[in-house]
Amino acid sequence: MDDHDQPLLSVEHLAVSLTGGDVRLVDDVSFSLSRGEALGLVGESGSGKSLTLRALLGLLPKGTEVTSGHVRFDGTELVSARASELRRLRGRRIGMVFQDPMTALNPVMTVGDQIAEGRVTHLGESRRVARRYATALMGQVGIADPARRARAYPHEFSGGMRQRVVIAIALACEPALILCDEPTTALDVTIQRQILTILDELRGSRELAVLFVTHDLAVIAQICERVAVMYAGQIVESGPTAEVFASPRHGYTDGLLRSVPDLHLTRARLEAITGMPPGVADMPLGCRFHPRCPLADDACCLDRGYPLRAVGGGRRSACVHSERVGGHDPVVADA
Amino acid sequence: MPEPLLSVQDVGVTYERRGLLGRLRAESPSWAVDGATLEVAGGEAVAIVGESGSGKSTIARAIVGLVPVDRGRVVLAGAVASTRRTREQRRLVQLIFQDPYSSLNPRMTVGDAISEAIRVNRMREGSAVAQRTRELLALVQLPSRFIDVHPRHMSGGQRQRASIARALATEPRLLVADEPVSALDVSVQAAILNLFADLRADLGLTLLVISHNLAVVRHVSERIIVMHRGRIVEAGETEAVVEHPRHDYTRTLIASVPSLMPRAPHPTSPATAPGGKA
Repeated sequence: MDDHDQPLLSVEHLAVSLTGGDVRLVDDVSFSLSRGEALGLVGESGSGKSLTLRALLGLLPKGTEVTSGHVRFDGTELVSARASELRRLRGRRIGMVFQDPMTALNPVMTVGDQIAEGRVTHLGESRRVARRYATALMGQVGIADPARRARAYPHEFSGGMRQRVVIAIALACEPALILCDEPTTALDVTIQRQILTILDELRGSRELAVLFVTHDLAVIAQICERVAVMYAGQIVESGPTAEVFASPRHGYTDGLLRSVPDLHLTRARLEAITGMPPGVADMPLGCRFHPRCPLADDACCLDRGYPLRAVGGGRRSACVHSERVGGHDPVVADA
Repeated sequence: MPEPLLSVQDVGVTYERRGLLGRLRAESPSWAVDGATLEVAGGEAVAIVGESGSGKSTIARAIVGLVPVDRGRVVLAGAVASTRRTREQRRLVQLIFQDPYSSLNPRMTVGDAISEAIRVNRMREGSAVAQRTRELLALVQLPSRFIDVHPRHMSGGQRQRASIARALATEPRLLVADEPVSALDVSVQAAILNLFADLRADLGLTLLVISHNLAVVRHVSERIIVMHRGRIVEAGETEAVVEHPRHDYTRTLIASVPSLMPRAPHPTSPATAPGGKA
């Protein structure tokens, strides 16, 4: 019954605005995600990446709302869906993992019960059966001695272990899609590596699609085969990660890649992007990156939208000079 | 061999049972820093890297005199430095904090914050203070209009520049920077890291960077000291440590750091080939 030609998730022209105003925080964002695929949504703070992710499930913070666009998940329109319908999807078909595991967990409930809860409420399993599944799942996310640890409370776990519990909760109902918002940002690198490996293995064994929001380009390079780069509320470039990182087609992607230090690339000097991102109230006319872009000219500041265009090889860019980006030397060459 | 600017000799720091009675009662304290020995020569750029709980921030605090040393000693420019330091010793070492949002006094303009540091340390007097404040802003590449600006009206990168300018007011020889770019956005980090490089070149500053981020550390330091659970487990030239780590923990750490070099495509992924959807 699965239709593999249809994307699992498709987002079209999504806009998120401040309630009662015309300030657009997320503007004309479109992307799609197939079953089993991992897409990275990367950007700096204020780029709109987290709002985009939260908008998908109707979890926008107070004072913001979706003002236009469509979100279709497995054939269901989510933007117009009722709260009860979204609640049924959340946890059942779509799992969520956010940055801070402590606030995501209930401090007065054993972790085993929290993992089992979804299977009881969504799948109608008995507590006993659901608990047995929860224990097995804890083993799969790398928690040692799961039968005993299932009876422990969140405060008895370290940060890395808590995030594993959160991942187990997200996966408990065997969802088709998992939404991750900076899930490893608060963790040490050795723990981050373990969590990313677990996510990757589970994807393989469950045909799980992953939407991964982060500011960390290197993390995207490790786990997402496709990437979409956000700047000032818009997607400015998207495509296969390896190709986007090797030869970006947008000035912002290029600048970002050249500005980050990397353990395996030696760089004499980092190339910082000049200036800073615009505030929501003073978006520049034309391409929003043009005031900071070395390639900018008259063609970049016209009073019109600069939407993504196909630039070949499954890639898209909003840059009118996409073929000239990164002209001098490769960004991510062999180490 | 010339005398090192900073020498940390078998230093131990514990946060348990302060005071004589506490120490007499304590059987075996747990050491946040346990027997750390390191030297930094004038003009060097050295990094201490480690994960949370490694003791890297504690050792930074012991070096600048913010936490007392319970064992061993810290020697600065040839003189033992305790938590009660001479004005000269305080002047010599300055600390840059991670969070530029909380390390600047929100009620003071940037100019006030910097000139206060100049005055308190008696670096300049009278009208020379204002002149020096402008020089310091120029040194950290901030336009002089920021003299009258409050921190809340500045971006993270601008604030970090301002706090660096304030630290430079005492004309220190050693700058200890504890996670100086961790709170900043990716595109801003590069400019601050480049600033450190410029300051080293222009002023001959000695830099001790404390960070969990090996990629940052590799970029700014000539030597790396790796800490794990309060102990120094490995130290050496940056290149050598990164390319040929000797200690098991260093190996794990380096293997864990994600790189921009994309990994091989996922075996189950449907859309990696050109022609995939955007």
